[in-house]
Amino acid sequence: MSSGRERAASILNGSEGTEIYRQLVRYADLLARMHGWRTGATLPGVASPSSVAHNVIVKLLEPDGARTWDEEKEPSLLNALKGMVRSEIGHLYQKLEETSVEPISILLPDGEERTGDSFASATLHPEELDPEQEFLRQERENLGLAAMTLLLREVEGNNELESVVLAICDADSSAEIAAVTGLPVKRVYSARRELDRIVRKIPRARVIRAARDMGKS
Amino acid sequence: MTRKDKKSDADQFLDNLTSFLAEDVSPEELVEDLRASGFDPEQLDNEFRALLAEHAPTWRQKAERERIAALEAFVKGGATAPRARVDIERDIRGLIQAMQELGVNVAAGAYHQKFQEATDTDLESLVEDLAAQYNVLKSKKMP
Repeated sequence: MSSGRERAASILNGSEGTEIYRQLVRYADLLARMHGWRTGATLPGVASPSSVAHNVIVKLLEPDGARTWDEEKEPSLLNALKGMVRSEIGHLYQKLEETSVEPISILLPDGEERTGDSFASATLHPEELDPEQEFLRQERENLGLAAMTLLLREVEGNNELESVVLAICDADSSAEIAAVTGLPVKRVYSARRELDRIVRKIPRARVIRAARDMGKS
Repeated sequence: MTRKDKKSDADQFLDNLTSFLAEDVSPEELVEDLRASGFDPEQLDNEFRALLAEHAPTWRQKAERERIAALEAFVKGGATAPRARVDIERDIRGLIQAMQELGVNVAAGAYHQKFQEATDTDLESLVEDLAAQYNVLKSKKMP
């Protein structure tokens, strides 16, 4: 066991271990929810937020595991684990996206191979998205917009929450949001709790429906 | 920045929202959040403990695991627990007495020996030998 693994094992076996695991599962759940909004899909395969958290820890603790923790670079084990969970969930959704896209490169009946480069747009603008990628990007953007609109609709009429949600366009922490909105940080914490409850109230299916409606209009 | 890299406003908003909501919460709020998402915090704790016991056992858990593994190997191997030395000695004396009762003059060495120099295995072996001799004698005396 490397020193990083030994140290992680010692912390996880210590008094903070359970709390770290619980925070990690909560984080994985939040990420899965957000990815669900953005892609319209549940966690691929048989994965669940707790299985992702579980696997990440196993990969870190096993001698031949795929994850390592460098305490000098990231002193907080929880933050390091959160980064691993983020990467794991990102990979899962990326794989799902890859399998849902029909490859552009195919062998045509006349024996000629068509590749992504055969498209005029790809030749003219090689740095840009190909048609399939563009379609996916558009779909994702619609889903993201739908989620954002639904969230804004939920907080409508609550000035404090509205201002927090609007501040989130440019800020991503309680301290920053407090600075942007002028609200005391404790009030921002309360708003965060409220927002957390609202986010849970907006299921993926509702976001997909709203995105479709937006697409039609 | 190309369209490949560019994030939409909605993407940026959701990234920021995720970071904001992901800030660590108090233990009480954590339990509340987990329950609201359908998790049982106690069950999560049990799963976590099982995970650690398997992948990062403490020295106590390692020792316990080795003890159980040794016991299982012992039982699977069909072995029996070693008998106390005093029980083996009692059996030897009993067999010698039984053989004498059948009128056999048992070697003085076996009778007078106090068994102090013999190992447990030697004594077990002596019991087996004496038992075999006794059975032969008995079958001859009682056809």
